[in-house]
Amino acid sequence: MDGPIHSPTRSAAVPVPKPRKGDSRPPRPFSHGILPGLVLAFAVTVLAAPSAPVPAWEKIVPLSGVWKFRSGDSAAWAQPGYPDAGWDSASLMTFAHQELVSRRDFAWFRLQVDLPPGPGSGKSLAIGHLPYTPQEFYWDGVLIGRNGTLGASREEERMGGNLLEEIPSRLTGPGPHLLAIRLSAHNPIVYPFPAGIILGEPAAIELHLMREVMVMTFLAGIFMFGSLYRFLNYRSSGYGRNSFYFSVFVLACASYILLQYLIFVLTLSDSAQFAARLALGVSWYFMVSMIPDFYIFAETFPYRWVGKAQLIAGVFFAAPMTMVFTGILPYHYANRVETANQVFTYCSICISIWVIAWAVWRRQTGSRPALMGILSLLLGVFITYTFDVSWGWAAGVAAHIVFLASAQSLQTAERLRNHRESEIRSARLEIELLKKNIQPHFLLNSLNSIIAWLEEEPKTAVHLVNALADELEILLKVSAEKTIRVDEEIRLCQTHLQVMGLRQDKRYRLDSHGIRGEEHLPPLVLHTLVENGLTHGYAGKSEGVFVLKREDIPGGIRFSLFNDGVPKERRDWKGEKKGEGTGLRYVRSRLEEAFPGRWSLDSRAIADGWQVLLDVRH
Amino acid sequence: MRILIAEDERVTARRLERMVGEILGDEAESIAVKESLSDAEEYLFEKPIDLLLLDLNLHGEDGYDLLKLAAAGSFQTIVVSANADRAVEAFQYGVLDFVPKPFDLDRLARALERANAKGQSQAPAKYLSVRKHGKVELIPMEKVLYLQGAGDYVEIHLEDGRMELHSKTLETLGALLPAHFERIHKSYIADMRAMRGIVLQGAGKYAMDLGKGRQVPLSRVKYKELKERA
Repeated sequence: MDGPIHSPTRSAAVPVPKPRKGDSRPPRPFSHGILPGLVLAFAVTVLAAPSAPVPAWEKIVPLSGVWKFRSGDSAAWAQPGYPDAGWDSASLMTFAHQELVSRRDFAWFRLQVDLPPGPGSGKSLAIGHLPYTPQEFYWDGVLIGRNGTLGASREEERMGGNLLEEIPSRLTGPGPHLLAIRLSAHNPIVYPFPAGIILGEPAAIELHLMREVMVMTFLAGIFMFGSLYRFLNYRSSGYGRNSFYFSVFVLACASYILLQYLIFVLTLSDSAQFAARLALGVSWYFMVSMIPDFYIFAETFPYRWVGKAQLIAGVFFAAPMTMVFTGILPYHYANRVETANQVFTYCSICISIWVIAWAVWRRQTGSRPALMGILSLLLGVFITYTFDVSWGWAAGVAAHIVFLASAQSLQTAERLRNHRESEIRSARLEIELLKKNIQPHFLLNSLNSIIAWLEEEPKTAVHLVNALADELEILLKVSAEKTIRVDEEIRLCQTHLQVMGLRQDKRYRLDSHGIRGEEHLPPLVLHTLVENGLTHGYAGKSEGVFVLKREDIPGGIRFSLFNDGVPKERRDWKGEKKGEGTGLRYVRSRLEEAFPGRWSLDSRAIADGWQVLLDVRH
Repeated sequence: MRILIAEDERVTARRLERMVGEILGDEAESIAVKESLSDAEEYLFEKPIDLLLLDLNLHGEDGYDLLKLAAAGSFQTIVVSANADRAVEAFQYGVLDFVPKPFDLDRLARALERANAKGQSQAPAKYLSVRKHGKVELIPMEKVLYLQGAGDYVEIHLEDGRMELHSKTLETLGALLPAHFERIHKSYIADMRAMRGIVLQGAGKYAMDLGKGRQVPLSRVKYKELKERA
């Protein structure tokens, strides 16, 4: 099928002025998103650059020339012959002059369009547009469509939901034609200018609009799904909290994209419109102030305040933006607010680059894809802000998310691997625990002592049997736990001291000070330390005293375990000398499992005994 | 017999002491009990003993360090321990017996009988533990060619011609050796697998050729026994 339209953008009727720098800046909140960004981006990328000549028949042409506009209202302004040379000029495609129209007035926009001769001429055509404001469309002075209801006041005005106005075939002969748009814009949250206007065959325009819907729902759907997937990952165990942050970020991107679209395409009541725009502002906030890159590496990144600072700073930028979105702040603040937001976006990206560079330097998993992602975003944002190419930003965000997802997958894989390994380690520790304490020689030695006591003093044998039973009972109860209450551990140590005391015919006791009971430690940590204390330093003595104290230290708890056994040779524990004894190795791996990186253990001889200091930080 | 009990659990030590007294009766010249490794070492340094009853898991110290030390001593060692899984290892260092805990009178009596009647170890040693320059060294049994008694000590002659000294007597050391070591003379024990032939030296004197020109005296009784065996 032949396209009927030739848009002579270089003709005198549609002159192309050199856009002034300040004017060409688009109102970012809506242009670096999808609508009208993507709508126009679509047209621009599929067809041609806005101000370039279109030499051949095209199916869809953006009416990107320089429009004439004027505030006020007159039926004569719809006529092709009306002299509008004295009117102001504006290029709608670049969204210049957003505040052309006084909010109290009607306004008119006029554009001369030259339809070339050819096989397409004389067919029915259509104007595709966005329902920003209530609008009336006149083609060569004939009213061809009305979108919503124009009104002299805010109350009379009604938004419409049309996207397409048809031009009858009798009016589409070759030669110059005049498109005039009459609009009213009293509602502070709508744009007081017509935007995203295209001309083409009705079917082609419909297809074009459908494509937009598809692209929009496709993108939003992918993001939504990604967000949901990450969130479910987060809810199931084994995935870190960064899954949650990532989920929020992607959800913000998805809703930003979707809301932008819905706000323009759906005919919403004022309150719904306000709510949607508020949600848009909130999405915007999360998009610019949450650096998912930061959260991905937050666990190891040393400067944790960065994320919080970013979230707080984001409020100061996103709040004015949201107020503009919702019409609380007059629209003419948009440019200033937008400039601030551009700076903030760049800052946000720079901070991300800093975090990622640090991660790359530390060879963190996933840092390379993350670097690719942030550079894509930087490129996309740069393209949009510098060359007014609206799709750059959206493409950057999409690439960023894809790379981040890849970085996160790598991290998740590693996390799962570590998790599995730690599970295996836990199982091994549990076995080690049981072996260490219910191992044959402990039981056999105890049985041997029971026999000895039976021959010597049967009553003591009974005590020993009971103490042994108590100890084994607690052991079996706590063996599968990752941590247990310290008072339970103390009871375990006391039964152990009782067993050992009866075996060796000595008196051992454990006193505790300051223990509240609710403190938790991995099972058998104190027990192992007590055991170590027992094996050194009580030869030839008949009594032994262990003292456990709990103290609060800055940022944590200190357990100090003292015992009055003095090893004959003043040397470190045999375990330490030979690398590490199984007892201490057990203690260390258990502590690391329960309090990764948050504990320290120090053991040394002090006057009259031995002291072990165990610090656990919150 | 002079006995030292090295045991850190007092009630078990008392029981051991009681039982040893019961089994040996008057034969027990002295029974001492020490609670720790260093106390036992100190005691050994001062007083000669004939038998050490040793708990392998002494105060958490590596029992094997002590075991090597004990095996190098002039006395026999019987391990009394709950670590029955390490009995095989203990025998390799040259202990006479391994009594697993918990034990009873009969089991202990059998072990003491072995020590008293110069019986053979339940399992032969794999190493001979010798003190050299204040340190304990392990000589693998395969390197030993023959042993020569010299009063209170033994000369251990190795395949490569070197010689080491052991502070046990030929009798006590002989009790720990594998079966292929045989007493061939009042003062000699030799690895019979190394025998190349018998040399008649005249005047009713015999020698065993152990290769590389090494000959050791062979008693007339052993000569006859070997002839009959052949």
